[in-house]
Amino acid sequence: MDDELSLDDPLRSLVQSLHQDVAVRAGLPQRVVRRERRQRRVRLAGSVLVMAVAVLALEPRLDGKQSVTFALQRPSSHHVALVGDFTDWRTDKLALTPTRNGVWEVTLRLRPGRYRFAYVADDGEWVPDASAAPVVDDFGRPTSVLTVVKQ
Amino acid sequence: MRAPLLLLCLLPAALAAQDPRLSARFSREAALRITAVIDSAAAEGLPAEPLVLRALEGSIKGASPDRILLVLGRLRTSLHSARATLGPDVEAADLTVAAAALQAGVPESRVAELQRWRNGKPLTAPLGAYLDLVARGVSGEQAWTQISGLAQRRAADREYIGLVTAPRRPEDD
Repeated sequence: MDDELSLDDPLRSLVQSLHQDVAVRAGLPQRVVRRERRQRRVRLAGSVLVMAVAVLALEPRLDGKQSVTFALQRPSSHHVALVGDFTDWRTDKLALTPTRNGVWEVTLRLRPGRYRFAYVADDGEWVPDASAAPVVDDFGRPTSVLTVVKQ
Repeated sequence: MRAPLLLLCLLPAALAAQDPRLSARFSREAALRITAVIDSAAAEGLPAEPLVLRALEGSIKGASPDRILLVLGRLRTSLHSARATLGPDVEAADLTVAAAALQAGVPESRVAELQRWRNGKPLTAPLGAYLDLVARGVSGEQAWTQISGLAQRRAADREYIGLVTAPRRPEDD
């Protein structure tokens, strides 16, 4: 039937152009599919990112560590450091923060285990933790010991 | 003549294997002597970390290298005994607390008995609680009675810690 149509016929040209438009429109779903796929990839990447952040947020709970607060009543001190197995026995690693009524505090997350520690106040005074058990010290300084268990 | 030459040849290797925490704290000679003790312990399959930490503790407390070496020697012996008592597959944390218990006078047979009762669970909580009770003035026998009682009924770790940190009753005040 189309064979009967002349290309010079304006009506037929219009019909052809309309057909071409339809043909172009036929490609639309593919573009839509491609766009949809792109959007899904973006959404997937976003959800992976969210999952990664969630895992990072959960990680401290999954690593078996427990929160432990060390506190020392020491109103007269200007500086208190916590030293022990968890600081490689360095006095410059963990400073306690003054909170209220002369109480100095720091909270750590520690794996289950047994830790030797002490406080070093101001210019080198070694102070044991009154609430922790004392330990026999081989080096002549007061030392405490703490057992952390899995809750 | 050969010995100093050999030492000169081995020195770089020893320094390379040295824990950087030790070389940062001790003189070159002291760090080498301490590393030698730790290396020989490691060659016996003992964990290095408790020995390194005790050396660092001695350093910050101003102990002499000779004193630190003496303490490390004792700790190594206790770790060795603990290993012989508990077997080769025990965790370093358990080995360390068992070594402390043996040093405190707990017989090896009791540590082995506790390991059987715990049936693969860590020993840190029961032995730590035992040591804490004794450090606070409870007799060894009394402390062991409490610990072994909990162990035989498969108590949770927090129950051992509860023995040491039992809340004070109002009438105690």
